[in-house]
Amino acid sequence: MRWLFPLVLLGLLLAFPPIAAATGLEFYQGLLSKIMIFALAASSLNLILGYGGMVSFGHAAYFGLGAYTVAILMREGVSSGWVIWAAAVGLSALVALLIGAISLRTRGIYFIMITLAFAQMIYYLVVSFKQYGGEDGLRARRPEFGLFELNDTALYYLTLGVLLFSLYLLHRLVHSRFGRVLQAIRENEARALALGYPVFYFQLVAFVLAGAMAGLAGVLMAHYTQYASPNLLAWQQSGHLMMMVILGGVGQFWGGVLGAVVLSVVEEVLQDLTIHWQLGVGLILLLIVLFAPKGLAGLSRRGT
Amino acid sequence: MLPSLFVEQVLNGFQFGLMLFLLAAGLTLVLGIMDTINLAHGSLYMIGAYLTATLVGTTGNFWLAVPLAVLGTALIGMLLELSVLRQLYQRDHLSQVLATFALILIINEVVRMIWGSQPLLLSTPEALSGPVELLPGLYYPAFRLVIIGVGLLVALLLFWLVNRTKVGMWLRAGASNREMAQAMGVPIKPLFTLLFGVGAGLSAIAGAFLGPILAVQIGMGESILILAFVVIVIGGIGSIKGALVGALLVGFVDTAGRAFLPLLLSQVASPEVASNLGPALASILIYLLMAVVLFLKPQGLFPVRT
Amino acid sequence: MSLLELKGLSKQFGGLLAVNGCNLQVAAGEVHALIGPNGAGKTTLINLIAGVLPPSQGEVRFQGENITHLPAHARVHRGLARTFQITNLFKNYTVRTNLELAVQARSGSSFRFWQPVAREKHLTEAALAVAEQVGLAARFETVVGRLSHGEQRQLEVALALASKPRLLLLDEPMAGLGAQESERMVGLIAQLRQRHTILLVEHDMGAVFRLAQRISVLVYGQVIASGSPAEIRANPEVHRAYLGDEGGAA
Repeated sequence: MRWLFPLVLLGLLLAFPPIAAATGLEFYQGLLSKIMIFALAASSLNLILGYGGMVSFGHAAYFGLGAYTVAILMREGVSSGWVIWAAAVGLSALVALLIGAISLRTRGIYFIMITLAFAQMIYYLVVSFKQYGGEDGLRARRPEFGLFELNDTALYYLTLGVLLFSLYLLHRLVHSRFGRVLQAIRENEARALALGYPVFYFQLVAFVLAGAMAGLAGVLMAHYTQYASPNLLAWQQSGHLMMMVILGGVGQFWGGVLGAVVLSVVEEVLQDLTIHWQLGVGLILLLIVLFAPKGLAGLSRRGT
Repeated sequence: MLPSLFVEQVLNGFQFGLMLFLLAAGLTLVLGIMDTINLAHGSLYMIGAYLTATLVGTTGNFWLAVPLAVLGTALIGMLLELSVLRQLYQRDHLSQVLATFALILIINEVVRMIWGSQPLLLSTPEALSGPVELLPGLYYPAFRLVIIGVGLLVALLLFWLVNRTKVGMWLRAGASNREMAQAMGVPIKPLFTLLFGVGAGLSAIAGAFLGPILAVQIGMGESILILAFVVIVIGGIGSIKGALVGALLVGFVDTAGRAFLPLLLSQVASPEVASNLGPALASILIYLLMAVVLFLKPQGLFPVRT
Repeated sequence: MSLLELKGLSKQFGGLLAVNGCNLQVAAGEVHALIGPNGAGKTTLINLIAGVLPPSQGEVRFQGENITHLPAHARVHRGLARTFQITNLFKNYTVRTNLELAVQARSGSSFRFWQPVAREKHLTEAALAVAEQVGLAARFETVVGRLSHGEQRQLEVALALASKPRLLLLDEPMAGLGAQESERMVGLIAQLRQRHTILLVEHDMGAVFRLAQRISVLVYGQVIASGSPAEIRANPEVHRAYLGDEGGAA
């Protein structure tokens, strides 16, 4: 019975595009695509933040790099979707490896600051390249995959498929040996070390996996908007992703997805209501942090 | 020509560094004593600038506006501490980051609601808008000299406060060991509200004086906030001395880097590489500096706690 | 050849010399107690041996191998397991999960990303065996936060045991225990000494003299005496420095 609700939901998601086309709700198809992309990005952050206990304030870097790799490669004449995807995810993973290798030697506030600083570095570096759009961002046509054309509907299904598959991988990961150790490290690092676990390497692997996953989300974002925006790299974006994780539930499996859904919906609703919608978002976030720190997924659990 | 450019940039770096110090000082004490990350610190800087601009508009007098704006911002800071920040002291860093991030969003929008989206005009006071001849042939804007003066004065006052007064002793005790300080009878709660107010006031001074040079606009707090964090990480969390050294370092490197790096690069590389890479490297220079410092001294240059 | 050998080990913290040219040998199969006044550097020494702190000078040799620069987690795999003086467990996990984690660390690589760890029944079996050995089987599914202090100290020892150690570093296992619990702990350690070499840091002199075959006395970061319990009891320097007497009889 536990599977009924998710199954129905999945069915609705699969059936949505033709329904949308028939009822003129194409806008919502696009919105769903965007939500799913953020769900992927937020889930990747949840891996290191929620399960790993690493407060990375620079996760937007990998998200944005994924998008920019698409835009820059398309600009430079590479048009195969396969190559672009591999390059984008690979680059995000590589950058995460380099940043993680340095940052994970620090702890606490220093870790937060150094991850933020590295993300800032990447932001300024990317934005300084005038030939790739500078502060205006860069247009990104959708690439070719040979088997199908990447129109809006195809992108929707592709995004849904990638999200589901990634969540499946994430599920296996958190329940594996690796996942258990990662969470143990979050619980008590000194104890994990005393048991013989090389803490640094576990955290680094998680960091790289999360970076790769965020890069993949960035790729999809570039396809969806057909554009690579510097905003994707901005530290406010890192905050935005963190907001989703805490809204949905830090360290809860569906935390990233729930948070992305709720925050995106809230943003859409508020944006229609007032030009000062960020005030609403800020207030909601503040209230959640002060009064419901376990997020929405945590609300359904009883006791501790 | 080059020596005067050099001197000018050195003075600019010094001036920027001193203003950064005002921001960093409040931040480092809060982080050092209460182990609390406050991202909204930059918002207080912004409020200081906005209040100054408005008061200059109504009173027509810069020197009247500044103290009033500083006072107003200090009060707002204390209100924030009493209402929101106080709830965060016992919480984890993630909660503090998110809660104060929320404050940034809220404050930005409130400012937008009151003053609108357009940047405010805050001009340098009439009397100081001209250059001063420091040495024969070497001119420097009078206003920037005044900033240096104000910065030095405030820095001296702060050092006196922290090192020579009872309150300062309490602060230093709290910074190196909070529980012990509390056990010894230091009144942590009101001390902290006061500290917050002082930090807000310092940020307001920086906002008031940098306002005429940079723009008074929504979001001006965020960019300088990150610099302030870089400063205190380099200087060592909880250390005023570290904040000063870090701020001057960052001020110099950032200013000189932006001025000279493109020039240097154009000597060794093609003009188009220089024009691209120069500004890019200049903007990441301080982050590289931070990475290097942290690599050599992971707790910063003058760590307060071992 | 000793199982563990410390040669001229020193640790400096700024101006403080916590461990000062310490020499110590622990023979295989023995229970070697380390005693000394508060602040003598005992826990620092344990941290040095465990690899949590790097020494300023000197060498740590284990089974003939120089492990001075080996990181802490690697030493566990060489057979060195330690307990903490201040209980340091996974408080939100059950006794079972705590032990399974300890067992898992020594059962092959944990860089496995696919198979659910819950399927590895052998981990649970091994964990239960250790729990039984220390007398915690009845509390196997209890969350650590709900255990009594005595039970938590038992779990500390259990975790070290689960690491399949050659040498057990027990840092004040009796800390905070009442009379009955202390008895139980002494019984447990007595049991363990049949199969394990133990370096025991303790303040409880009764337990020390009952359990130890050799005793070393640490004062101001140096070993001032090392020998059988009888020798130590009779040693005037030890009396002066530690037991407080002035050359009196045992």
